[in-house]
Amino acid sequence: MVNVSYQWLMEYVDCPLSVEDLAEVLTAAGVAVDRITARGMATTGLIIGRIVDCEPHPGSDRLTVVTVDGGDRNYRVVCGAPNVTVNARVVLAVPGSRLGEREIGTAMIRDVRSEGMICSASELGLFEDRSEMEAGILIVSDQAVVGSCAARYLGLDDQVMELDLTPNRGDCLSMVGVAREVAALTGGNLRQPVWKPGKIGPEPVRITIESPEDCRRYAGRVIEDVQTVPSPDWMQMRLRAAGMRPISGIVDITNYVMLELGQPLHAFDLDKLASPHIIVRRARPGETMVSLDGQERRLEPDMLVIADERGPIALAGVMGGLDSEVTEETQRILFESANFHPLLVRRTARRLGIPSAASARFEKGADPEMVVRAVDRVLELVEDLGLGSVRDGLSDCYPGSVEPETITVRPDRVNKILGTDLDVDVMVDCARRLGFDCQQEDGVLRCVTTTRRPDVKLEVDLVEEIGRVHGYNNITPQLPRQTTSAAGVPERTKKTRRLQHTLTGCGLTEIITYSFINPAIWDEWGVAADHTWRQGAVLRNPLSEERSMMRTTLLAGMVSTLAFNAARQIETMAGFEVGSSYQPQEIPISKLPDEPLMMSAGGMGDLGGRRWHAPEVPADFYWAKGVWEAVAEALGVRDWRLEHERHCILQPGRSANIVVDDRVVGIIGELSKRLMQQYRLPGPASVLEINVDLISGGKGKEYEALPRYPGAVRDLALLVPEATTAGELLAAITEAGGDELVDVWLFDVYAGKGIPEGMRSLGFTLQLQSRVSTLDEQQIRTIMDQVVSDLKNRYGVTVRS
Amino acid sequence: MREQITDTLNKALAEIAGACTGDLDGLRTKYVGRKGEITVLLRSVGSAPAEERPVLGQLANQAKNRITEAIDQRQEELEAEDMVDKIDITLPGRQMVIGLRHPVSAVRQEIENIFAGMGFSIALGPEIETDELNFEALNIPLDHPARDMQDTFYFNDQLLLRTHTSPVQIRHMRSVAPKLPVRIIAPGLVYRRDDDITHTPMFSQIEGLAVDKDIAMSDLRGVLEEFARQLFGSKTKIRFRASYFPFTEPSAEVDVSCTVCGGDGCRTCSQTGWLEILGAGMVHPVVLRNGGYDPEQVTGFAFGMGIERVTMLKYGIDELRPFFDNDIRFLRQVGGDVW
Repeated sequence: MVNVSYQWLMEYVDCPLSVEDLAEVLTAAGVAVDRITARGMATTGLIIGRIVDCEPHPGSDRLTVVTVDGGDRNYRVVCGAPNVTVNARVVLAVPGSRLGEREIGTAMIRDVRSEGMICSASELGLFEDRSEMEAGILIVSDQAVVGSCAARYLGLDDQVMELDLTPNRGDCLSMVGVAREVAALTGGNLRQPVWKPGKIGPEPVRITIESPEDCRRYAGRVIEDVQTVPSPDWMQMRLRAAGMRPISGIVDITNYVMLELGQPLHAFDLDKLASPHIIVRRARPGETMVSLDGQERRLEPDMLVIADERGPIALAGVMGGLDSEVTEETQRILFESANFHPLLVRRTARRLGIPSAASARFEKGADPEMVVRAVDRVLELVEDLGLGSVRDGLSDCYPGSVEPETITVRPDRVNKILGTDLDVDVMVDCARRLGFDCQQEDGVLRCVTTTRRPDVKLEVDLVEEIGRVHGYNNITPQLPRQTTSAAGVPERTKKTRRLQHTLTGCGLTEIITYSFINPAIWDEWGVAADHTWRQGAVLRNPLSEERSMMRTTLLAGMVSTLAFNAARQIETMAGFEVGSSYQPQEIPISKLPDEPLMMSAGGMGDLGGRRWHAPEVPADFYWAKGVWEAVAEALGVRDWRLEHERHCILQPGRSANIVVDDRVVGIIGELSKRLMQQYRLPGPASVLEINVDLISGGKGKEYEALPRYPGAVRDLALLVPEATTAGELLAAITEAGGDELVDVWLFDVYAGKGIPEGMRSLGFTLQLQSRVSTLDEQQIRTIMDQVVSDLKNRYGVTVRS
Repeated sequence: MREQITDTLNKALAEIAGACTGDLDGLRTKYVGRKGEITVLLRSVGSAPAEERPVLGQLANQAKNRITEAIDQRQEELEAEDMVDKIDITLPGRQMVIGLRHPVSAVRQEIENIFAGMGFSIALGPEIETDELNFEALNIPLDHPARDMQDTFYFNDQLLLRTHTSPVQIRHMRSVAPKLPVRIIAPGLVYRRDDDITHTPMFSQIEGLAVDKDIAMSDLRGVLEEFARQLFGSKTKIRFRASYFPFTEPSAEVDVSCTVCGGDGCRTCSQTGWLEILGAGMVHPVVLRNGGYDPEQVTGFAFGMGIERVTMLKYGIDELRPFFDNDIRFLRQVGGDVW
């Protein structure tokens, strides 16, 4: 984030656009303007005044009657601020002036006439920090001309653009960089500040760079007879507009040059160095340094430091050291201007938690060609502002200089990628306006790379530059050539959609839960130590322990969703989820795990919804089984069965494995009483989970001509020993019924009054139909007799009359 | 004739007394209609001797009135009888329980369908990915600042949770190269180490990739414009802003005109009239090469968007977290439906 003052910017470029229009143009071209804020309040009639007299107010201890020289005449103003002093220059709102909506007039304050008002920073809309606001009225420097326009002097009418830059646009972290961009985009005339090279002379310090990789360039210049003088108001106003606080003349100058040219700078008290020898090196193991903020920093070998012959004196690009700090006693200053490796600066700033305007600029890649120019600019300002005397001579160590390369840009390639019809001259002009040395030669463009824009290295990078200056929104949209091949859908997506379709049709609502789970649930659930559920992939840097393991079962999310809803007085719900689980082949994982497609379903309470017309539909085992039956049908599964199986989270006797083609593909059952209590779920609650990838999908649908002859329906009520399952009987009936038995279902299950102990009554309906003729009564009786005698023989059932 | 009238009357009254709702109209026609028995008799009074005419006429008219009355009366009786079966129609109907798709899942499929219509096949990839495919192959080397843009969950130095669906681009290109054209969308879950009001550590993305001999940025604009119109309505406009992604060059952020105010400026779009929904660009030559294509021979475009964000805009949801809370009341409100 960088703040750009519109007025300051206009010093470097002619731009016909208002700040709002300019912001839009910049944003469209990739230099995003997030916000425009007024620097101060809209005002009229404010002038700079000088206090010539202060006397106590006759009617108040806290008020002062102040006489202010306004240039044209003197004004008598009643003021309540504690910091009014004779000769101070202040901002005077004379009668008739405006502060925002407020009109300033002449008023009687405790019987004393007050002509206008002396303004504080907050009254002007300059929200500085608290201590400055509480100080009272705003006092400006003695350089301010009495009687001149205060709004102009303070930049109150300025507007500030907040830029949000992408990582490749470090060049826009400077006023001159933004100005170049503005010039390129608007065609405005660019006015770069002139570089006045400093005088040559003997090297003021020796510089040793241990690794050119870490530091491409390090330069320094020295000033002497340092004066402790604050920076001028105009500089302070610009720093404030950029969001920085004025600190001292020297610090302000380095910050100002950084804002102007994008090159961070640092000032060392030269006399505090062990010797005039600067060493740029990695920190040694165990080294420490007290940084400017007074904190002792433990350094590590992957941090870059500036050292003298004793030890570290600064964290390169991040923060200076306390021992070499510039103070009021400082006589000689060494200004550092350098180019450090972005990654090293980033790592150090992050690790120590001290990001700064300087580190931000290094992180996005500063321009090594700016190093000497920036230090020269600092010395120019030092001299202009009388902050010291400049010593001739430059130290400049530049081991990391890179020869520029020439990029060949083929105009037809540009148009092919952009889908445009741009002229070669337009392309050349565009590249040049962005500051690239670009020639047209043999029908192609030859553009020279620049250290200012390290992100432009390839032909396609220049295609982007040309495209964005031309304007992406000026490219005419078209639809690509149609392909003849139809869009394909993977099997996994098809299965997912089929499940979603089926399950929503069954009244279940889809949920999506986090893929990470809390490994503590295994203990809570009583999951066996060797259970595969525990074999999940574990994150090295989870947000919290509660979300540290990749789910091995969707039931974790399903149970917590039931609990989440139950905790909100929701008595009943039926949900499902289709998604991946993550099944590592080894722990800890070393290769990509299986990510099978899983499907879970869960229900709780009475799903009949307690309606006037509806019977209860408890979310019990048979509800879950109904869901499975629908899923099996949807996936084309014919050969399946449930097998009783104990499972830690399911209620014994009401839990089973789902077996398809003799392979266990999932589990189903009612949640155990323990879990129900733990999660305070309304009863009953059931879940199921299947591994969809283990289900091959069956043969699909088969057509068979519908029967032409009428069929017959017969009921069969049987008294059955309790141990005989419905499944066994259904299978036996199907077998005995032969081809003519087209369907059989259970219509009644009854035990209790009228039924002998140890028995139950099961009622079956048999649907009989022949493909070759209408069944007559004789044939029907034969089939029924066959079925009954079979059941009698095998299961000892009796027919109830 | 006198008896004839009386007989007809008696016969009619008897029939009316035993009639059901559907019979009455027929009886009316039969006796007092234009060609009805009484009507015919009434007409024939004119041919009777002059002195009998007044009496016969009166008699016939009386009969006609009696029959009409009897029919009306019977009708009322019958209607009253029917209403004995009247039910309370305000009782709720027998509830049909319909499950709903999770809104993100529904919008995901809607987006898939729109792109299917433009010839894009679906491609999928794993969520646990290699550093190589998630970063290196996409032109994001280890020291690249873009790695900071997406804080990553790691399992070890090589394996991570994919931070975007872009690795599917590489996987797919490698599996089909050098075949052309490539035209896929890759939907799926992605993960970033971020958890605050506007970020959840897991969310859904949909990625698009087209590679062919002559794919240009104008095609990208065309496809995305068509997509935006189909998803948000035919008046939707799109806007490109230059941006930066390591795997595309040129790169753009794509805005759609605000779905709430249509571009006039409102709270949803922070008065800008535009909503940012997509990142897009022309596939970087390095990425094409890593996918097995010669960037001198082919070009391509790619785009990606967050499905939760699109869903929020579509339904006017101003929070991200409820998507993963799965409060059934929330899902019932905005749960989707796909067709």
